[in-house]
Amino acid sequence: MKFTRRSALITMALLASLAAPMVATAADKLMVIITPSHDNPFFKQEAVGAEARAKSLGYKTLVLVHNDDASKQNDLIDTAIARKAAAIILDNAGADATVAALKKAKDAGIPSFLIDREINATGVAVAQIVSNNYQGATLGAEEFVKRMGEKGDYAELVGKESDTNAGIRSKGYHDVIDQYPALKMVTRQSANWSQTEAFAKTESILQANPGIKGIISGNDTMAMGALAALEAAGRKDVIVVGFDGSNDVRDAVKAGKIAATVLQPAHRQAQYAVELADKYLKTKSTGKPEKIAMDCVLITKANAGQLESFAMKGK
Amino acid sequence: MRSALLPALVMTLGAVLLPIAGCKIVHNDQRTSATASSPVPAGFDAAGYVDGVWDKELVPYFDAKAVDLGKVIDAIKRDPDEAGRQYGHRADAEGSPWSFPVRAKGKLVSVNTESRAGTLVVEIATAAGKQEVTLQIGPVVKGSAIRDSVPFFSFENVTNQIEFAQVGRAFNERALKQIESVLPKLAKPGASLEFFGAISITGVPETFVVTPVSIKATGGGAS
Repeated sequence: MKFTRRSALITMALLASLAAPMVATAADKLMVIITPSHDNPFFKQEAVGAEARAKSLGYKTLVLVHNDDASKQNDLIDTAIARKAAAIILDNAGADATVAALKKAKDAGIPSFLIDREINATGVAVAQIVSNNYQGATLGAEEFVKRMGEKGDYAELVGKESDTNAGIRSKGYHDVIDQYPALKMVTRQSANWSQTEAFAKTESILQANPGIKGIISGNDTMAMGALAALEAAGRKDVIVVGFDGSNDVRDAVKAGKIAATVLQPAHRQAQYAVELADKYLKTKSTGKPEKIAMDCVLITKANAGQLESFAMKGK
Repeated sequence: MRSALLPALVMTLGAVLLPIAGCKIVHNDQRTSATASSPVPAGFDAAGYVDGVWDKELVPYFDAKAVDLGKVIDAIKRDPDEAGRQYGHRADAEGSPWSFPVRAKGKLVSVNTESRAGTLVVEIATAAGKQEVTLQIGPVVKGSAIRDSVPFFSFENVTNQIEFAQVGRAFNERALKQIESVLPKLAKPGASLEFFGAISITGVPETFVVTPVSIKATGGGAS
């Protein structure tokens, strides 16, 4: 009898010591924010936006980068599971490769909220706030076509092939441009979203195809690389269009050096994902459909002045 | 004795168990490699979907819901969001454009086919006065106003944004087929016409661009 009571006490104490760290972790309410490399200011702004909103809502945050490497992303999701995160905010590293990793998180009871890029599955993440890259790409391409006068030779710089959005943007560009038979693509090369690679690729493109009138680029960092190569070659006549809406390209658009870019509302999108996560954690529902497409905005000289850190001022 | 033993036991066990609870061993056997994903999913038939809903859902929807374009334009100029709530439709997302099913009678001002994104400029009447609007007649049609103006289709109905876009294009292409035969009758300024179509706006646009779903030539200016 005495022994039983004593062992029951020990058991209770043991349980309390085991339960304590779990309760503490839940009370800490950690949001794990995972994006591609912050070398690209677009992804940095996502992380900044999500982290600021999460902190203002009382969450602890852990900000991680997967560098567009699906196996690294898988490790980071495992970290989030091990840390018993309350929610994962993710700009993912591959529409197919991400599905299994997020299923693991879901099985561990951790809801995921995707931003920017979508995955090819539903019911795995709680929300997918998708930047409508295709719609944005058609806006950029329409402006490119207009500035090219619907004719002439051009080159395309494509992003990292493993990134779904590289393909989506390229398809959006071509679905518009290919409807104009007098516009001829002389070369299409990947510069892996990188400014330095885009500089080198553009240098060789200009040597091989001095007649090009335009360069359409899958993102702004590559557009900046292309612009630097064009300036180094003394070519001020080439129409350049980018994608993302970075402050660097905004300044080049204002100066008339780059024709246009397309803003993805990165900052707001990341904040919105955190708000939906918060609502979901409190009420078990976001009250919204899983997949939400957010439209992009064309940035030209006319509205470049309103653009600041991936958001339009006054909006 | 008992009071001294218990905390000691708890602390010892706690010290052993805590790091285990806080630091899970992570296995990498579920590693996945980065693969290039094809942006074009196989097996999705956007044109087939659009052909299936055009007569059954889209035409009845425009017949029932299309609002006089002059009225819509006046309302948009007053307050785009209010106009949207009253006459329009938009996706369940922040910053989405408002789209409106519209109808109007007008007079042809000009035909512009120099650009492959060809247009008709048409003058219509609004309560506030005369208003020129632009009708897209292709072969290049911009935007996805038709897709975005109907409530029976949304991003939720497809797997990804490529399929979403394919449906938008399929609606545009079907619309071009619908108006193809009437365009030769609309060659000369002054011709009268009636049309149904869709417009999409964010804020007050400089030009009101209509993607027509049907056009009828009603006299004058026939070539």
